[in-house]
Amino acid sequence: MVAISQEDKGLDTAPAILADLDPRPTYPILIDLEREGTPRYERTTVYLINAKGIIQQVLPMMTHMRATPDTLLAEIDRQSAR
Amino acid sequence: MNAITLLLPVCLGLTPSQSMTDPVESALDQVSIEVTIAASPRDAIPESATLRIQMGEGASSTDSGIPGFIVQLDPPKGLRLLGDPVVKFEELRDNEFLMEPWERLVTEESTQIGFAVEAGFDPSSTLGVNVVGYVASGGKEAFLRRRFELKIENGAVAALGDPTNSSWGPFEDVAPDKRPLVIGDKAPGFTGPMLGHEGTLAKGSLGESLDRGPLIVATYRGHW
Repeated sequence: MVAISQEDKGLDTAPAILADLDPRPTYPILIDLEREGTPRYERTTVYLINAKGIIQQVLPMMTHMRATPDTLLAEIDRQSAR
Repeated sequence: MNAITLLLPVCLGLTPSQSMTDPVESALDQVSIEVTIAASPRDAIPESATLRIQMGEGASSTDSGIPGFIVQLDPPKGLRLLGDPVVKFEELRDNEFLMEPWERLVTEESTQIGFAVEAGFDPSSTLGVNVVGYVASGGKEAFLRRRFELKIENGAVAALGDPTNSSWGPFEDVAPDKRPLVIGDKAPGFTGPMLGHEGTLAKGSLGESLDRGPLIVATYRGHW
């Protein structure tokens, strides 16, 4: 899992991202300060991507709703079972 | 002008046994979408239509205080959105969490979205609706995505659409390299500063992570 933090105030505040997240992430967070590098990735959204790099699922607002890694993994299991 | 109201409760493609045993699936089963079409001569193209979405019981308020589902509208040519966006949760709009007008938050109450039918509308076309939401019931929680297709005509029946179709828009005025990603798109890479979970900064590459296999990518909006 990789997170992208978009539109941060600056790199100096980046460690505060970790402090804000509960539970603390165990995955890396890429930082796109101006959202210029990731404009097609919507804000606060989760993407499930297969081994070929193709998007399999898009879940808007999921991170804004404080989805936990457990919830994400459960969602993958649920969708894989279909 | 009289109005003809079509009530079209939509079963989300679940079997009765699933609904009986899974409280989350049961909650999803209660979501309904209705279309109201203004009166028009029989077999004529209507002048306007209203999409009404009713939340199912069990659709949850999350711990961030945002209830309900998100709908992403995918209108055919000739269907123009009417009225103001949903006014609740202005902060979502003000902070661009929702890409209105085509992406809307559906609250726990019935939400209506109006359209005008204009020149160029093809009666055989359908209005696509992506419904995405969070439900919690009986100690279980899940996220939902469903694709619906609705014909804009008297007697139309909302139907489940292709689950691999998550397109919405239109985004004619948005550059192709900035349009929102949908299911089936190749995930673009990105190289930039990367914060490790231990708090250190280094150079990182989303492309390299994509090359290593299946991946979950979650976007955050800066420092909350």
